[in-house]
Amino acid sequence: MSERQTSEITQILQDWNDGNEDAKEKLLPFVYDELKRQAGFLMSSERANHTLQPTALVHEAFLRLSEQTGIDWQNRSHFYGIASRLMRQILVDHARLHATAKRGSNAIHFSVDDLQIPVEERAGSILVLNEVLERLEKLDEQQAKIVEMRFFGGMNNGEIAESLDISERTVGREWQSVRLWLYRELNQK
Amino acid sequence: MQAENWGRIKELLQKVLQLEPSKRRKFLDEPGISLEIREEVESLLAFEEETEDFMSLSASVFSKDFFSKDEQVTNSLIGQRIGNYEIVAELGFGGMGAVYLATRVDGKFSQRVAVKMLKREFNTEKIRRNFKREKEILATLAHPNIAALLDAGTTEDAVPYLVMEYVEGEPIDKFCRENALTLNERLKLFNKVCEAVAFAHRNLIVHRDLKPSNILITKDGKPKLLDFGISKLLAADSEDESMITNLGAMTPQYASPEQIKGASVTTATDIYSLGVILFKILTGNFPYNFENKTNGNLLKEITDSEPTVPSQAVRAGKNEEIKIISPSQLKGDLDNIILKSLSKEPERRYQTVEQFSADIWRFVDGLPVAARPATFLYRASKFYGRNKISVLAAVFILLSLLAGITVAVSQANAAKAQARIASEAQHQSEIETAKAKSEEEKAKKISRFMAKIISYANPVWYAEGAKFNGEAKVIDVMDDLGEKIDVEFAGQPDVQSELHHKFAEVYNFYKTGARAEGAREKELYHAKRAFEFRKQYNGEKHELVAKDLFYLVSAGAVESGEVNDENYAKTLAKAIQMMRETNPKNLNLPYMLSAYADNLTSPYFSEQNHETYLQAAIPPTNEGKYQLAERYYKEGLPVYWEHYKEFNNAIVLDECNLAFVLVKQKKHAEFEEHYQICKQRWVNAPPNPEYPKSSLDFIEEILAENRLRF
Repeated sequence: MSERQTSEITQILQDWNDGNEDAKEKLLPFVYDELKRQAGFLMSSERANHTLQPTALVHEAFLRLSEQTGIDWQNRSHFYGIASRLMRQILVDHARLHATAKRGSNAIHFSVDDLQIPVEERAGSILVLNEVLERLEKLDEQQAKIVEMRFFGGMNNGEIAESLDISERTVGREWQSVRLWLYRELNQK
Repeated sequence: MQAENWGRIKELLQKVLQLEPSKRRKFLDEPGISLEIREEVESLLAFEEETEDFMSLSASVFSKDFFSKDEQVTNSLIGQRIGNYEIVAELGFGGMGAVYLATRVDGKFSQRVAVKMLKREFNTEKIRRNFKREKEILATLAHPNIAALLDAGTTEDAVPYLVMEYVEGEPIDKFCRENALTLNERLKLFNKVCEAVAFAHRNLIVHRDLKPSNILITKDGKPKLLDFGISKLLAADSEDESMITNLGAMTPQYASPEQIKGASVTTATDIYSLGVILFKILTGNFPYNFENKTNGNLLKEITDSEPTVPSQAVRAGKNEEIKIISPSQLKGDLDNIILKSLSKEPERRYQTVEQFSADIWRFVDGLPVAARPATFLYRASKFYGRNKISVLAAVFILLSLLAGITVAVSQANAAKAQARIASEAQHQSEIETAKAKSEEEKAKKISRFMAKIISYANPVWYAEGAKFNGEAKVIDVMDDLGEKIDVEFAGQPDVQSELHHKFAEVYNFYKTGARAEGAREKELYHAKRAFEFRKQYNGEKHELVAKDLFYLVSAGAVESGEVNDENYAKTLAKAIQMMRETNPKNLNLPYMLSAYADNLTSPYFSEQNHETYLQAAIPPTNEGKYQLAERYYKEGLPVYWEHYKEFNNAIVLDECNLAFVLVKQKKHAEFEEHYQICKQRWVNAPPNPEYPKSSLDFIEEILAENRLRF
């Protein structure tokens, strides 16, 4: 990151801390670049083989941006929320490059066993999920947000609760119920 | 589906999910729920089981390879020439760039090498300059277990690259698992790795990124360490340091707390990573629970949480390791060794990799290890364990009783004889007669007690024997008779104290293992009794009182007041003091002092308040307090030599240390004397892998250096 960029981000974060909501929008391109750069590294094959931990790129991006700027950031969970959205965008864009068929023959689980499935088919699954999520957004915005934050952002229930300003218990219940719906929608013909 | 319908469905679904399956039907039978809604809820509920691990991955893991594929295509250099090498294949893709397999093209000889091309982020003027300088340093790192750096430079379009020895092998954790190595094989392999790391440290090179994928084991079982000094080389550019830390040139699972916090990185950092690696190869797990943790939480786990105890990790894991390594093998010493290396504070870890490795050798050889939890029960129990008290327990008890009888009988006879001689002196005679009676009494009681023990072997005639079907072990007999000692020997404090003492000794041994239940309480009971009766018979200040006071502490009690660290320290210090004053050559003294030294980090055990011993000499030696160290060595060594009449490496090393301390104080004549003892003994020592002859070279070097400065 160049010095100029760093000072620019510092200013944006400062504004955001001061309550200027427009700052959020200005931050997007930087966060997008940062996420993309890290995704390229963290999701390279060597790295992913090492660890099956839900590597939360949004955390990495937050850490890096806040360390670079040295700002004591008040809006951590909101940042995670934004970053989750961007992460979804990045992954869907990449999935479009790889996906040969929209739907493979395998059931879509997004669990460890799926890692054996070829990239092309997994990319297809991401695209299907994206479509289903778009439908969910119309049906229940909050649940769609929770799925986005958990799956794309790698956020935990506590962080999601803070970001959406609801209780952690609610997040848990919403997640538990929406999973059933998602699964059915993803896997029915 | 309508959004408002979903609201209702969701509400019911969430309620139903909180209920036990048996109560769900009844809940949905409510008249207020329409058939359409009910069917929808039930259709979703049907997936509950199937979705157990649905979405258990995060997108970033699920989408692995989405990105690397792009980069691999654009970055492929196959067929290109780099320096004297031609790239033939891609080996992998890592945080710093791609690694290629290459062969020499200048035709002199065929040599396969690994070429590391650096990512553009690292391609700065500063790093390019550092390359030249660091290349020279890395080239000095010639060790059979370290993959050599052969060349470094920049390509025509100014991309920095490194040429390394190509190593074919498996990561150490995979190798151990696939070859089903035994515990000792794993430890020995790990020690070879330690040797290589120690070598680098002596050359002032810290690895900073030790992890299994950097420690390859070749087919013939030789470890090869990769990427030594690489992270240092890159981090030398301060601007990029944060990038390396955050981007994960460092692997979070093996990173030390100080690396995560961004504090300075030293050899202690490598010791920590080695600790994690040892943990991993012995248990198959990581010391922290990384599962379902986001990266931020993962780092927090390393800096804030206490690591899992290895013996518990192997039990908890569903890994291959459990088939080969049992929790009981790790429990105790290996737990302590690994946890010491994983201390959050670098200064509480092993000071050097050599010390870490030496402790593992000591474990392999069944010797006491330096690492221990903050308890002084440790040394004593190790001593007993090593001497296999279990086997000897029977002999001990019987011998002590037989000795008791012999003494009692001969004393009775002597008393009678004396009584006869003293017949003319009436008052004297009365005393002697009373004494004789008492001794006779004692002999009778001992015989009776002995008979009782023997009856345990006769299942037909005696209830005691029938109880165990004639197969009672000595420990069974002790369990039965322990509380009868004071009844059988009422008024005979000398016998009572000796028997209680022996019982305490045996139960100390049984505190771990199959018969551990109740052993701790019994040890405590007997230790307390032994101490009381000893004082009754021998007075407040006696060698045996000192010894029993130490046993009391070992059993987890204190002489007076609440059981806490402060009172432990007081009691132990009192025992040591008393032993020094009554018999400084008593063989319990080194163990007492050692127990004391084990707890020096506790404020109650500090050297200002109490006397300590030889091991206490090490910290002041390292801190340059040579006068204090000298005092400790001079006090401890004679006690030790008294105890170990034959050769003992550890003591010889202490002689060497004393010599070092003397040379530092310019006490030349004395230095020569101890240095000669150290050297002679070392040269003539029987071979011992734990103390290779070459370790004297190191000492000699230091000593020679200091002698030159006279």
